[in-house]
Amino acid sequence: MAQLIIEYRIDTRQPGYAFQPPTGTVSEALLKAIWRQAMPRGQGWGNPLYQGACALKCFPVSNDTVALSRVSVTDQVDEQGRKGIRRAEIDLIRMHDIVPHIKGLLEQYPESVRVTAHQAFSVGTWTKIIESALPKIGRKQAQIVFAHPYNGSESWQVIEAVVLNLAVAWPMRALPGWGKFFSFTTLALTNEDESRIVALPIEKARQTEGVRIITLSWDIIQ
Amino acid sequence: MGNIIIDALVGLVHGLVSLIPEPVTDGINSVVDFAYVKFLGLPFVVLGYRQTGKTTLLEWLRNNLEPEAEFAPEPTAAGGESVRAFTTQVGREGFRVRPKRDVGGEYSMWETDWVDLLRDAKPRGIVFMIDSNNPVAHKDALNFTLQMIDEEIVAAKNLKVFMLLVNKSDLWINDKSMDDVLEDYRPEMRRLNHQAQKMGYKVFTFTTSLKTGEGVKEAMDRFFNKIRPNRAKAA
Repeated sequence: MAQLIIEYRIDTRQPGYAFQPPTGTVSEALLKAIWRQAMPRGQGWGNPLYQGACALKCFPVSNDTVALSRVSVTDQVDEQGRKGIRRAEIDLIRMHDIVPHIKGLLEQYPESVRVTAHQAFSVGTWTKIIESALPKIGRKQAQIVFAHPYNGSESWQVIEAVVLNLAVAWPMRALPGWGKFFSFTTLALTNEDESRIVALPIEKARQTEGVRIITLSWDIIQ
Repeated sequence: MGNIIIDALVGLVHGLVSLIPEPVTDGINSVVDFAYVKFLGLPFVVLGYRQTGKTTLLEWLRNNLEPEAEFAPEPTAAGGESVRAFTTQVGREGFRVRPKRDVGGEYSMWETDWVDLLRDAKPRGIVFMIDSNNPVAHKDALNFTLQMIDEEIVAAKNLKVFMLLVNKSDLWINDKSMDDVLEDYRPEMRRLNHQAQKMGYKVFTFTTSLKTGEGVKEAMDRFFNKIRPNRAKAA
């Protein structure tokens, strides 16, 4: 399992975002595919609310390889004082190992988080998920967009666990157009150009257009 | 997908135009122009080295050239950001524009995000931003862009205008002129003008400040009028 890092450096001859060397034996094509997708999308990461925020983003980079990117919003500031700089640590995982890997990640969450996340999957939530997941005529690939107020990385863990649970849930694999693996992002600031399953802070979700938002309220989760 | 088909149809109409008498072609040009400016969006891209104001320019355009006081963008990350087509009020007319993506400007972005963007957008215009700092990096970025245009023949075939914006004039305008800034870019400007002549696109240079708004309206008004299909309207 190779690990790559994309980070922002200002102390080098070519400052800015870059892969941190060495990138080992990973091919140029694979590096480009990772580069394009590793960071969660959206503007506004410089908002102090998101400092220290974490996101997991998982996406296929070839027929048999999946990248799992752990992104964190750092406290770095560039030469112009710009904030919202992110750092991504990317694991490359074989396609058939990804579901056990995600299940392993789920087990690392505190039990209270896991229990709360399980409770989110009420009949009502499943109905909304299936409605969002079914292919729509004339639309791009169906996308499931969750929303919840963002109050820090610790409380967002429940949403992370909801997304991870859904990513390994067998009913998703039975739905038309979803298949054995699909991309997901546990925290982004827009659904545009994002994974098949994505979670957004509610204030960002309100700015989206043409997509149904599944709001996970604490009432449902608790 | 829809845009690709419409673009192909527009291309076909353009091809047929050469066979039709002039009064009719004027009418067809007006229809094509209307389709681009009001519905499809004029495809263009914004490039330039990091910290030159690419994201801010796109935000300005989205806000009809009104600066947004609290806009404080973070450095654009790997992969860039998708930008939907939108209508911007520049001068007297509203233009539907299609910048496709907002891309970062550091070296690592060029081979990936910039090339992808050019291929995806097939732009009618390129806005290339520089400022008075770090000319070596801006020259590298400009040379890369010119090389990319040379190599990406299909992606660059619609190119009508290359506009060089010398931005952040509020920081340097009291000490030097635009010509002083461009003095460092002599070989690149020669290369740009030579390529423009060879490929049939126009080159414009403007001084702007996205902080004070100086020059932005004039530059963008001219740019969009020059990349629209019916350039007679620009007059």
